[in-house]
Amino acid sequence: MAYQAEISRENPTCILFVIDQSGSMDEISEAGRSKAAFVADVLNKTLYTLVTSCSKSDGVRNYFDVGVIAYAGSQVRSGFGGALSGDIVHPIHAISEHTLRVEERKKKVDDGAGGIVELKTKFPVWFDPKSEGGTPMRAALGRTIETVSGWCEQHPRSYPPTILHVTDGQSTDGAPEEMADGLRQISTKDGQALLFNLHVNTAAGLEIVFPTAEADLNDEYSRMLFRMSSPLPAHLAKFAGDKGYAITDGSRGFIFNGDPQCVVDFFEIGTRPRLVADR
Amino acid sequence: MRPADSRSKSRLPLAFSVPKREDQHNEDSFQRSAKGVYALSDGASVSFDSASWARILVRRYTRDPEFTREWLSAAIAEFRKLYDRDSLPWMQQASFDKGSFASLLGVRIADGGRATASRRLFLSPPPRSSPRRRS
Repeated sequence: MAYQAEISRENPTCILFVIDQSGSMDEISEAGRSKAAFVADVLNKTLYTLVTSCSKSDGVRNYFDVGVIAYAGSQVRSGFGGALSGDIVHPIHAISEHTLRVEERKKKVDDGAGGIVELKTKFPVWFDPKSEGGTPMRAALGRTIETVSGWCEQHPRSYPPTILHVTDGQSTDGAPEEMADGLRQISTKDGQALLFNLHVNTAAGLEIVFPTAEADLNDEYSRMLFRMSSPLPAHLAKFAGDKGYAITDGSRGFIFNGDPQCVVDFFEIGTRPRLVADR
Repeated sequence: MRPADSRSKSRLPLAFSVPKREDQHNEDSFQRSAKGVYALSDGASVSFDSASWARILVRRYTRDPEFTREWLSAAIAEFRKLYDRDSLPWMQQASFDKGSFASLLGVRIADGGRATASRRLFLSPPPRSSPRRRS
């Protein structure tokens, strides 16, 4: 059965974020922030959670290789800056060490005695919002194929890569669907790479989460992103179900027009491949 | 469980513990006292510092097996002294806040071996800022 490999330091898995940074991402959503700012914030929090899940008092364990492919204008490049900008994929240990900056935020926590205390907490930032130019989605997925196939060759026994693609618009460099089909065919011995798509949209329209059929979607572009998305494997379907989403056989890893919580959940579900082995 | 005969009064002669893998830190702890109190704690690897927490739990339980709210507060206070949360790098601070988890199995041999009392618990010290230094 696929998607059973234990994730360990010898057999890490790969999580790849593919992020649309085209000009239209600067549209302001109902919450009063740009889509780009919201996506950058969720991405920072997702990386924070991933690193934290690998951190112990004696250091950060390399359970994950993580990469960000950003695309905008005529460019497809690493979404990381500084020391991480040269390559796409990096061990999570390297990611934890190379932030753009560390901010101080306040969070409220249970004090263990029935009260709430406010704690000053260090919060790392890797991404600032960007939005500029066209949407070279086809080229971005081409780069993703290159990255994922190279990674799978080096990690034949690992849980296969998960790709979380966030976009708000139509590709401006040709049809991306065949690229997505190719991407989903790349595999390790544990199964095929998983591609999940998040269609952020500020236009009016119902939120559609983990649908089973493209007929549920009323715009052609969403239907294409649906077809590009992998069905949720059983363990992720269960996790999504536990979070309260209606999941049936054939639910795909696709969200259209999700509210902020739904977007946060999309990232959480996508980055929870399996529990790690060496616990 | 009823003791089979008087030999049940004898203490556990040997105890062994090995990590799951050779290159791993062993995060489990075991301790016994001369008074017939045994404590075993399984530290959860995917947590900040379960090894220290497990060690604190078994040491304190064998010394004082009366498990109360005060007992737990004292154990938490001892764990917190190990780290200055505010000066930890962000990734360790986040992991510290998430917690350090360990189970505790405590067994007391009472009444000359004719009775046992046991407790099974799963414990974690709650996250809280380190106490401020008083000037």
